[in-house]
Amino acid sequence: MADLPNSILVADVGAVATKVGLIDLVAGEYRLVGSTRTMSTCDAPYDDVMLGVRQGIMQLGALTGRRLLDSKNALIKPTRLDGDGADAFVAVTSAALPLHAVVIGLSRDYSVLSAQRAVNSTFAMVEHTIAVDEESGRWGTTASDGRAGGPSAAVEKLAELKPDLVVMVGGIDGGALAPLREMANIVAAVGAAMDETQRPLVIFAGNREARGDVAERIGGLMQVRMVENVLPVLDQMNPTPLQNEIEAVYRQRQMENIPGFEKLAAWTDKGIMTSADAYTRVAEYLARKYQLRVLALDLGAAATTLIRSDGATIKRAILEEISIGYGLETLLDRVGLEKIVRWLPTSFDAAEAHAQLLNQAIHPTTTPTRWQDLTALNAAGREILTHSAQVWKDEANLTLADSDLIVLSGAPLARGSKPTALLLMLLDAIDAQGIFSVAADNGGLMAAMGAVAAVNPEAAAQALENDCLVTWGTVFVPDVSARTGEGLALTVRVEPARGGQLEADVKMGSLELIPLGEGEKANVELRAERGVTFGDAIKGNVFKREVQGGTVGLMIDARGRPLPVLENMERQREKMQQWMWEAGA
Amino acid sequence: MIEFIPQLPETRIANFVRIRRERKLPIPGEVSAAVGLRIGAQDVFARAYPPKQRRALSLTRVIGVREADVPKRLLKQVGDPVEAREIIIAKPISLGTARLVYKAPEAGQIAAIQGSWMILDVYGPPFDVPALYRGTISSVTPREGGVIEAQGALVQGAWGSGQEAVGVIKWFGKSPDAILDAEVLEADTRGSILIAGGGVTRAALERAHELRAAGIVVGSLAGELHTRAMELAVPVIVTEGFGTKPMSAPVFELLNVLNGQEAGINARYRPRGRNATRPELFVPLVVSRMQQSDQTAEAKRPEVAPNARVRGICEPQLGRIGTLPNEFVLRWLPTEAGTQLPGVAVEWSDAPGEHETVPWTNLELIG
Repeated sequence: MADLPNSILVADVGAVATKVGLIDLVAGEYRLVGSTRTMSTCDAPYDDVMLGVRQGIMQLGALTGRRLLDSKNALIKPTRLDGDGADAFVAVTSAALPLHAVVIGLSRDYSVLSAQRAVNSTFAMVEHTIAVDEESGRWGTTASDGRAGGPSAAVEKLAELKPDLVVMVGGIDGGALAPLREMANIVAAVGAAMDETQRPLVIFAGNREARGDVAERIGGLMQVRMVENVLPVLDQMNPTPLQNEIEAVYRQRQMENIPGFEKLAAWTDKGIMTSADAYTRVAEYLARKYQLRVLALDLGAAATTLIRSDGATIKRAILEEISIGYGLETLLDRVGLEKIVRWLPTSFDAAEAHAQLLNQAIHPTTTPTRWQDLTALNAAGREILTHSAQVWKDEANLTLADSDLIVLSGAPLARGSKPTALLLMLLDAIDAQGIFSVAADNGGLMAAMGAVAAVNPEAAAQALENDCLVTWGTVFVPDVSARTGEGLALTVRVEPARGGQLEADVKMGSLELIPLGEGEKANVELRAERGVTFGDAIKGNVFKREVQGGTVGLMIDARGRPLPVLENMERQREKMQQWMWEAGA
Repeated sequence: MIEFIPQLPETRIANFVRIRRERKLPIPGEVSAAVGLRIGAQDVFARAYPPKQRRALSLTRVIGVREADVPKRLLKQVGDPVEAREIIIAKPISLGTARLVYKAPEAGQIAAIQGSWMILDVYGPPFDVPALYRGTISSVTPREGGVIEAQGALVQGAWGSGQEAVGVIKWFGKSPDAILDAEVLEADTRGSILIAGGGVTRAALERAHELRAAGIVVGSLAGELHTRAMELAVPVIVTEGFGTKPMSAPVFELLNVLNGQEAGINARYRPRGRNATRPELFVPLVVSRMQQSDQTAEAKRPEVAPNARVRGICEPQLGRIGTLPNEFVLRWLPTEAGTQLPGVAVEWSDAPGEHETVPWTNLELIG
């Protein structure tokens, strides 16, 4: 342990904001002694990521009274006797642009879907997919010129795009080779038609026995990388090698292209991690340490990340095109204003909300301070989460409904929405059921702790739990599907450890917020009415447990799942107003 | 109190600046300009020949020829031009008494043949890159494009619909909040860059497109017109944001002075990455305008400093112009949401003498 750094400077360079923090030993425990947030400077007109990082560090120096940069603006490392400087510097980033990928495979339901899932968990966007088993026969050929077999629209689309990456998949290992040879011909033909400076990189993650054929047809034209089959046997997905290769490509082609990346990397002790990788490590750590099913949601200004870990398995989805900042334009385009407006009370003017969301997209660095602006953004946040959840729903065995701990990170927290408002956003968007805790990454440095763990795991764990994560409280979402009407759903009795008692009746279709402060514990007894249950894990109609409070307290959500969203817009928005009152949002 | 003052985003709104702008072809082509060449806004200096359509088809499936037999059945090779209805591949059938053929659907060029797959590029019109910014070529990248150095007035926008054009500025801004109506747009709209104050109606947007206006510059655009504006050929620049916002005074006043001048409007909007671009209107410097204007010195790039001019970029201050105080510090500002943000006291030009503390993140530098 003696060799491990005690004071660690951390930086999380996002597309919009650069967060910097300092971890150090305080009374024998690692604490985040200060953190700052400045504008990222990786884009024009600054074109140097170091400008924002240095500004954040200087601001942190002013905040902590500790000089961290010397007179030449270089990092003071290691810590000096007078306390200035830090022993180590770690950095994570999500500032690079995503890779644009095309997936081409033999079967829509198997190889293409498997590859799409793998790509979606990386910093890459699937722009187009081609599947052999679609359209009118192989390769989607259609009649033309009075003869069978005309041009393929899907292949023509590929030829018009300029992807960074073509992911070729198909066939189980040992399967037929002929279709893969033809697929390789298509990719080679499309590549040959492009100017050689614009040809994409090809990753082949299909039948391993076809590698020679693929290399022979494509290798002379484009750079080809071979990885293990994403679907080696029919019912067994193997996404990791493909994901790792895409990550490597992302690092080489996108991250290292961030202006100033080399200078930042030179400051670090272990190189720069992607924010999503670091965030994944933290989710995994929490899941393993507390044996929980953890759902971590990062609503970033430039990307949306969902991670689920139960300690044994990790699933991740990164949506690059839809986000609560730059991606709001795309969100409005994809889901439409109406779907967003249904989450707003009747007092909101739809046109104003529309303008507000577009303005946030063009000025993602801004911090709305008015309740109505934050509420409009949180309405968009619901649709972002709903849309993101769709990416998971097509995968068997994967649900967002059964988490023990939900962690929220990202721009909505930085903007200062009330925790109750953000909790309601989560409950509206994710069909979570049962009993679970919710915590928030208030300072925006949770992901960076994943990188800190590489230089000092204890420091990462302690700073994470002491300072990065703020507990919001415990949420109860009973299953009310077997009950109808508007009567009583359950009664709740809360006995806080500090003394006293509180009882409340919770009606069907309503929310009940019970204050229980941070660090407080209480014995909770829930008595369900007929037709109301607490999920498969809890038998009987009475649930008793000691639970923890938090910034929000205890939230009981008896609205049912899936959430009853009314078709009549006016009534839905009235209902939304009621839910917001009940939740204190 | 916060001792350190961080950076602010910036928007250039200046009567006289020197700029460098890279102009590139979408695909490699020919660059006809040399370094040092003085170039007009409409002068084409790079040209490429992108296909109108790229057709992809399997020759095996078209005429049933085996992949191995494709080379000997082809009558055309990669790189060959083809006329419409010209036979590209033929296969004898019925014991050689007839043949099955595939004819080019349109005139074009065979771009690639790999195995049984052929990519046929259908000829389209050439893609020209005009200078857009009248100035001097300062560097050339063969086959790709070049960099133009220019000097003149520059107005950067908050959002652009895409597209670019050169036109003459036509002033419709009766007031900063005036809305451009379709009724005032007549036949001479063609080739004009229409400047209105507050916004534009849907009908005026459509009419400007029909009359082939060279561009529209407005303070704000209704959210419902966002998608439509991107679909139309006329470039649209929004200077403040979406909604119903008047054009801020510095933009309004500068554009008024520029009425009747030839300008390049570049409404391309790419907010992220190494090739990030802001939508902008550029009016090259002409001597007559220099003589009319008091402001003949080149505007410096704005920086965070006492009395620096700023603009609000978030409601409720969106589009308001103000100045930072003479001696300023950032202070924690409580928000309605119950959090605290670093804020600074700004004196808004529409409320002289009064200072309002505004979140630092909700300001940008202008100048």
